[in-house]
Amino acid sequence: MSVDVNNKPLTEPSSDNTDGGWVRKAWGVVDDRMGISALAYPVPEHANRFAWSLGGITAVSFVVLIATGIILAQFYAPSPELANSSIRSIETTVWAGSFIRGIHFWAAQAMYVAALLHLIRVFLTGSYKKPREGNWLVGVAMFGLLTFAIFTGTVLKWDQEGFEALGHNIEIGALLGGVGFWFSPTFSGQLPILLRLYSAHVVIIPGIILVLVLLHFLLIKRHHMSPHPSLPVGKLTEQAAALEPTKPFTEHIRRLVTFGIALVGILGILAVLLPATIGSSPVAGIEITRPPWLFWWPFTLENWFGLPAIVWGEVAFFLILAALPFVDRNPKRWWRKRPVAMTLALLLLLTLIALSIIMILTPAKNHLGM
Amino acid sequence: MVTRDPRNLRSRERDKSPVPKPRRHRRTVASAFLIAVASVMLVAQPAWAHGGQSASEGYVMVQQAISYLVNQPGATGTAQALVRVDNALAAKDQDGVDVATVQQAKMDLKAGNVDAARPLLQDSISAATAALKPATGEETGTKTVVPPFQGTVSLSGMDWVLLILSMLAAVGGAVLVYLLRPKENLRALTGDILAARARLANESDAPSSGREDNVR
Repeated sequence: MSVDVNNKPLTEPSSDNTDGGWVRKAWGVVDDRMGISALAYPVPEHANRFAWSLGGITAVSFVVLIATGIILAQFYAPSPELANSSIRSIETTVWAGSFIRGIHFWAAQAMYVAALLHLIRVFLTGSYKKPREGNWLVGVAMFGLLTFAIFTGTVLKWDQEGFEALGHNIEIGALLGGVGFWFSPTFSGQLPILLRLYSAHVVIIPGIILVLVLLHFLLIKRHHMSPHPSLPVGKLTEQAAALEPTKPFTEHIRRLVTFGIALVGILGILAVLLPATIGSSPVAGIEITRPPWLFWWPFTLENWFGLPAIVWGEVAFFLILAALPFVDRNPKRWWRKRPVAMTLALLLLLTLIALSIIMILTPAKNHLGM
Repeated sequence: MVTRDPRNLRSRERDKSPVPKPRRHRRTVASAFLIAVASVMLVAQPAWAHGGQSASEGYVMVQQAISYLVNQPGATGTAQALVRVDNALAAKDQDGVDVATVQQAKMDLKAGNVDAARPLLQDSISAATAALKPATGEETGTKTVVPPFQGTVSLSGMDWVLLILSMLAAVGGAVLVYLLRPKENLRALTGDILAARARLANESDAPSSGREDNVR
């Protein structure tokens, strides 16, 4: 049965609760009118563990990114003539500007790593299996959007690295033909493409991610937390055992908040000791920088097979992720009972790591037809 | 006179088709998909030259030389810069480029005097950059090539305050994570579930079937 944040049945009006303090009464008044407790659900004990909180940590990183991004947007100038210098100004003249930008930079890395680890955890525990295939697709879409957000953020620096990344993207857009029209600088030629990428970075991508996050959370509530493959389940193997102890949703949130406090602290330490840098002003026609680390593996493919290999590599990667729940029909969830899936996943992971390491050892090359 | 409703006729013709409906439906979907893909590929453009301002312009080549100098300090960067300087001197389009100053910068570069060459190169294109219109499309809008910004090496008082606050948050968060951790490990949870299942089976005075109701 669904319960509210106080473990009371939802059918019981919150305002009937007369034995609580004024905070509880106030909460009841608000909740009766807004239905907030409808979002709550009992959380099985296993889902309060670190590995099962990675999705929540990803969400915390996203909140940090939005908060710091709003501050940075007050000082950033999204025009080619001013973008690079406005970031230098944030670093040098805005109060705590370097710190806030550093947190923004490191929170993006943290969100990517947490999302990746969350994805790996979901794979290892078979949480993408029936009936959660749809939610897996939502998660993969968010992962793709996150990658795009980091790409646009790189371009917004409007330094040599960002400009070279943009050059790749424009050529990839041309390769895609009609699908890539949005990346064409001639699509709205009277405006700098930087301005459109800025709108994508601060409005379009976070907006879509927010919608998908809500859908993700609602689907988790609908399907319940996936079972831990090491714990006994009932007849319905896709659900945690009804006899497993549960905690109120508020305790789950409280635990996520503790992870969030620790995360913000770590991000702050990194922002002070390893501040975000900015490269030289962009110059057309040369390639002298390396892309951010999450793009290393497709760029090794580019070194070997040319620029279209980036497209095919990324498309193949996301197609594999999207197709996973429909191809892997093994109902078993424990990793030891899924040798084929585990072997293939390990091969994929090792390939990506090897390609990334090769990128570190390879000097920057010219790929663009400049 | 009997009139035929063309809709009925088409319906009957469809029904007489030797291909079963689901398969025909799949064919329709597949055809539509192929047409969509083909239409996209037909309008695809080959990846080709681009780069903001045209890389064939002399002043952009001078900017490239400066970029090599600020991004790759040392012999490699200087060698690459010399190549770009030579390209600029040989370029057909030298609008806004002070060729004499570029040649002076080239001499300095050959002599290994990068610190003197860089401002000369920047000065040599001041007329070209002054004439630039507001950037559109993928134009860089770069007038002065400034070196990478690494931030300050030493920590200011403000940095120390932020660092200490961050450390407090990290440690405090970690302590809270530890204090509010789940009390039971997986083995204990397994024991709880199995014990509860056995208790239920005893209470119902019937052997456990293990078919609990999973609905919460």
